[in-house]
Amino acid sequence: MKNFFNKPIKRQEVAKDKIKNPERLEEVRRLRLHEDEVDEILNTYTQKAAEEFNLPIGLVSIVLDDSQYFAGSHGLTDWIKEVNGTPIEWSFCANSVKTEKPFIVEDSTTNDIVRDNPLVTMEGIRCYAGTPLVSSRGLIVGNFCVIGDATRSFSEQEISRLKEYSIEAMKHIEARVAK
Amino acid sequence: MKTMFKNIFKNFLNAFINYDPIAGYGNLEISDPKYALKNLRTYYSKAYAEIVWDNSCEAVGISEGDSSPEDLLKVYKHMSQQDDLVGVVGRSLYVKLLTYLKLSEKTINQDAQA
Repeated sequence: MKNFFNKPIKRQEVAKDKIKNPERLEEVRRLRLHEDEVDEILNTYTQKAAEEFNLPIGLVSIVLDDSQYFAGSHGLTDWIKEVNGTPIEWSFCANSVKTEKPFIVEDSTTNDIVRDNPLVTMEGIRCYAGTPLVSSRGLIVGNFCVIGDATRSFSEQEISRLKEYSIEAMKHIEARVAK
Repeated sequence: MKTMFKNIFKNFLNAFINYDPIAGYGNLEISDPKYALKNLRTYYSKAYAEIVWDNSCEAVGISEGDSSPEDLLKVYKHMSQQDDLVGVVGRSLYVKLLTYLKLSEKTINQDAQA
């Protein structure tokens, strides 16, 4: 492919959009989080977290420009398992990229941000807790999250535990690239 | 190069006119070539976006006369394997199109069972 002008343009225009920010997306690329690779270690982290929280689903969700993509997962079924991601409009995890904070939903049917989300109305997601995956360069590439089909509260201690999972997952991702 | 882009792109666009949005899923629309070009142009010039499109079509053996969602998936998959922002945009397009196709399939199956 010719690349004599292979330089992203319009950087300033989209830099303010935290999802589409080219710097953040280049971090996703640097960490090779858009690639096909199945990572059993990340899958194991998500399984452990799901079991620890007694919830059916755990994810390492990478927030791309227009979709989210699962670099690690446990408990997915049906079309989401086959796709291994969703459009960005339905991504709970994208909220953490925007706010740079954990995103917690105890009852999705009463949460103003997600109650009309098809993953709630059609797929039955009721609770969600996700904490940001922060790279060594300080950029949020996605979330480590657990998901359930019944309402549930999350204690401060549990959110701290989820943050530990995010840190562990990021350490593994960075180490994978360094090899 | 310009003619190739126009021909393949037009052919693709015509092939995706009749795909309905998916009711219940936020009226999700098919991520057609026009949508792909729009996303690429968020980061690249029009000229470069067209080169990316042409090269991806060529790399997966898509030419005039070939145009199906499966072809388009191959184009997006090829984009996703690029080692620059095109790779990230390509993966996004691939996920979004595959979501559309799987949900279409699901909806058709449910309608058939009803």
